Amino acid sequence: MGIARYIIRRLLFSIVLILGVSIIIFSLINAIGNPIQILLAERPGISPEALDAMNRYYGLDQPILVRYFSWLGHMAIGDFGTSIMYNQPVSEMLRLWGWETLKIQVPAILIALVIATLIGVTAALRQYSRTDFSVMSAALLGQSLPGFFVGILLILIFSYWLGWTPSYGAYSTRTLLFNSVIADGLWHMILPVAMLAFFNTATLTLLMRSNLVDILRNDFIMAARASGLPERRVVYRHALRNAFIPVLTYLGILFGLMLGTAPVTETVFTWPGIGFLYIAAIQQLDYPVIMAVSMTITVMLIVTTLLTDIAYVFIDPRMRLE
Amino acid sequence: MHSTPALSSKAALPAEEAPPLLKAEDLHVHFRTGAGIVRAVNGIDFTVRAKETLGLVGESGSGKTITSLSLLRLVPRPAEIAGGRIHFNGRDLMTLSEREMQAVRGKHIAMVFQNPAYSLNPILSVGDQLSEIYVWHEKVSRQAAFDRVAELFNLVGITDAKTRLRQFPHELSGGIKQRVCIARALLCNPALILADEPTTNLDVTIQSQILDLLDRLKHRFGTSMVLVTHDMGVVARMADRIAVMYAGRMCEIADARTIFHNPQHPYTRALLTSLPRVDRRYSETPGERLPVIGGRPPNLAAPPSGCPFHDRCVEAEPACQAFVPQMTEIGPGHAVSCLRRGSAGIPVQ
Amino acid sequence: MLGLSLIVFVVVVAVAAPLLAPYDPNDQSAMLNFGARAAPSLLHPFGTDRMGFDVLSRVIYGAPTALAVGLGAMLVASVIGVVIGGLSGYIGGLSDELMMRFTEFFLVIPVFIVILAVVRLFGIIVVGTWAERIPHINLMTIIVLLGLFGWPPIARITRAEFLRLKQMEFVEAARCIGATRRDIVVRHILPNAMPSLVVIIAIGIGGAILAEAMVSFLGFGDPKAVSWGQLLYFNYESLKVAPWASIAPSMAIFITVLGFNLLADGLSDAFNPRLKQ
Repeated sequence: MGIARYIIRRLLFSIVLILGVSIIIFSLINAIGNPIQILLAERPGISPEALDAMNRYYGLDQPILVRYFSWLGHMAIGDFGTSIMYNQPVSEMLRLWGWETLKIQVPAILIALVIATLIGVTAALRQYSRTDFSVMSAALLGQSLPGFFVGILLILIFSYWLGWTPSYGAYSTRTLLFNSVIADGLWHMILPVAMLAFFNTATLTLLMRSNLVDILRNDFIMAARASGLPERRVVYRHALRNAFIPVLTYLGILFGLMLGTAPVTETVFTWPGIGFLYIAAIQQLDYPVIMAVSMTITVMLIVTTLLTDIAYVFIDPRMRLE
Repeated sequence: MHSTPALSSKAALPAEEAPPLLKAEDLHVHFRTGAGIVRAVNGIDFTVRAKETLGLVGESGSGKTITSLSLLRLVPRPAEIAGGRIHFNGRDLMTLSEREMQAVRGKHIAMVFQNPAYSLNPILSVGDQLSEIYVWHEKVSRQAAFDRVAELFNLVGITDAKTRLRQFPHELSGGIKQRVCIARALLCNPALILADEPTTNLDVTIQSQILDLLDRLKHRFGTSMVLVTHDMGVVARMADRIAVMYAGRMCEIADARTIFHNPQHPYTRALLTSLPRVDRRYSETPGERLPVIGGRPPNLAAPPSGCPFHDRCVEAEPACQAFVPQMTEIGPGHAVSCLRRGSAGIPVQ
Repeated sequence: MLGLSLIVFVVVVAVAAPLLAPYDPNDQSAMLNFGARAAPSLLHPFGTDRMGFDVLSRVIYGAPTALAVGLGAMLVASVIGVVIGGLSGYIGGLSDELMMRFTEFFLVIPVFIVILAVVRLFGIIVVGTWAERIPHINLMTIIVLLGLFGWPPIARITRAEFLRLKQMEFVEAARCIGATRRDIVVRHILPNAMPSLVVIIAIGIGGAILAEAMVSFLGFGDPKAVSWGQLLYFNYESLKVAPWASIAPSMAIFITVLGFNLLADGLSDAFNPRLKQ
């Protein structure tokens, strides 16, 4: 059937994309030469035997193609090698730090979606009114507000001035809030989630509003009204559903943007997520971690795109013909 | 196809004695724009009698579509109904609450739109969107509603109704889509159907089928119809009475036979003489050219003073600029607004 | 137009930086009488930072850097984007298919992540080579990288515009009177594609400035350049004691990015006749 073929084609293309990115990342890392040698350059006392041993340990004595395919093969079974700076399996680190990243990003995007829908609908229904104008201006302003600036302001206001929230980290180091891991974790999540939600809300509101305004101009909306359906149902069942279709694609893009800029978010809040790990790994030239994190983020991006493409087919019947 | 205004037999049937089903009085619709108020509909009166078809004719921009939407109180923003009364079934629709109005729309007055490609929701199956309306008005089960929709699909000539119900608009041809829209209008057996250029966007062969269908259904269910069109051929075939609009005002109302055989308003006459006829040849030599109405349609933001048609009218006299002509009865069921035909005029302030 | 006035303001500040700035950007003399992290005062309106620099002067001298980053990156991106998108849209067929796949490939790469790694790795490669002596080599690397990764949106728009315009009647007419391909593209299609391109480039400039700020904020910027991101990087740790040193550069970034976004918004409204009415 058409849908199955479409999905298979997208899937194959995604695999090609992932392979392409893996080649780029691998070549970049190897362009600098032997990372071990560079790392140890500052320590001249090391013996050639010890260097050889380390090279063998990290597999750096193999020819480059062998190393690429071995890296790829191990990655396929979830083995990302061993971190140089932590001497831990990278896959385990990805799981721990990746969870912290998703913990703030997924709630942020869901909260943003709900708020943007509510505000976007309100604005679109009062097109060109004062409400609409203020909402639009605020959203446009919010969209241009750099995420880290929002973070800085949030920390200043809520952590330093009011003292309501912690300014860094995912958990308290000494006593947990209410002696509960969950409460303490949620408490620490407030500011990072607020910052990410702020940015996403601004973008999604603008998108929601302009889509809805376009959709509401359609004859089928007038036809639904002329059939006696109440305005509420016309807006929520007929207009909003159509307006959601482009928003869906955009959710994928936003999620990618958040993942891609996770290093900034997590530096602002000293958040032990995948982006924070990435920055440390780059500074330390911990190349297994650099490659693993960049590959993971790429794969997540590609999978998100793939999922939105597939969801598209199920939401928009017009896509099913092609 | 309908280039010759040949009259069908029904058009000759006057239904004067029947009490009017709908009576619009002094209807005004304004657009508020940055440049001021545009009077898209400027004080018109008309009636629709039971079981009759009223043809509402005019150029694009004459306010005929807005007029039909205003009967449902659905003029799109920034337009708004600025005044008037709409008597329907013994009630003034203008005084109803929005909730009461919702119970009228689709149940007692239904509408068929101009472009079937855009008037169905693209992401719901046609069965879903039609049954939703029936469930809403008649408070029946979903299954009963689907049965009703299937029944109507059969009536409007959609074969294989059960399969069609599950299809989405983009899977249907233009003609079928318009049949679906007609079925939607008929769902609750309304007393009045507003058809806004129902065939303009269809192929010529399908136009004829759709017109036949509308005519057949109307007679079968005794429905009244307001047929909005710019096509004199269509009204000649379908309408019992005809109302001619120009620049948001009514020019002339009469039964179809009178309009075609004894038109009085110069605009009506111009409309009729500009229709191509099958029994004549036209060429670019003077005298053999197809007559056209000179000038341009009026700018409603700055309409001509007095009679809005005076600057294009071959019979205009100085008074036409100074007085706004009022609709005046000049024969049984025949009203016209033209100073040259003896209509009363209000001086321009 | 607010967007335009904000940009004019930033440009004026950038051009007149030596006149406007009360201190030299490398002047740490405040250390002596005021100390580091001194609160805003008459002599230091935005206070001093962790290293005893005058924050206002540093912010002012950051403007030319920011504009150089935005314009430089978008120059690189535009050249690549217009060539690829133009070829793709004008020739069409298989080459179009290939180029669009290539563009799509670039769109899914987590650009920021890759740039961070490349900037760092490039810094290592450069050590000990002739390239090390090029002034601001790190900043230039960032600019070129932002350009190299920033072209896909421009290519997409160019392609769409070329596809649309090449079928327009005036292009047909030019073809009929024997205009060369070059003429058609350069004199007929490109000027008409300009409005959409200008809008996307304006957004891109703001984006590039923001991206550079983030790269610098994370500590991978050019240590020798005076940039807003760099200022943030040096002072973010002392946010609690000297918030002014973090707020001032953030505000500068915000104003500049907002200016370009508003400009793009205003331009797209002005160019779009459907919305004018």
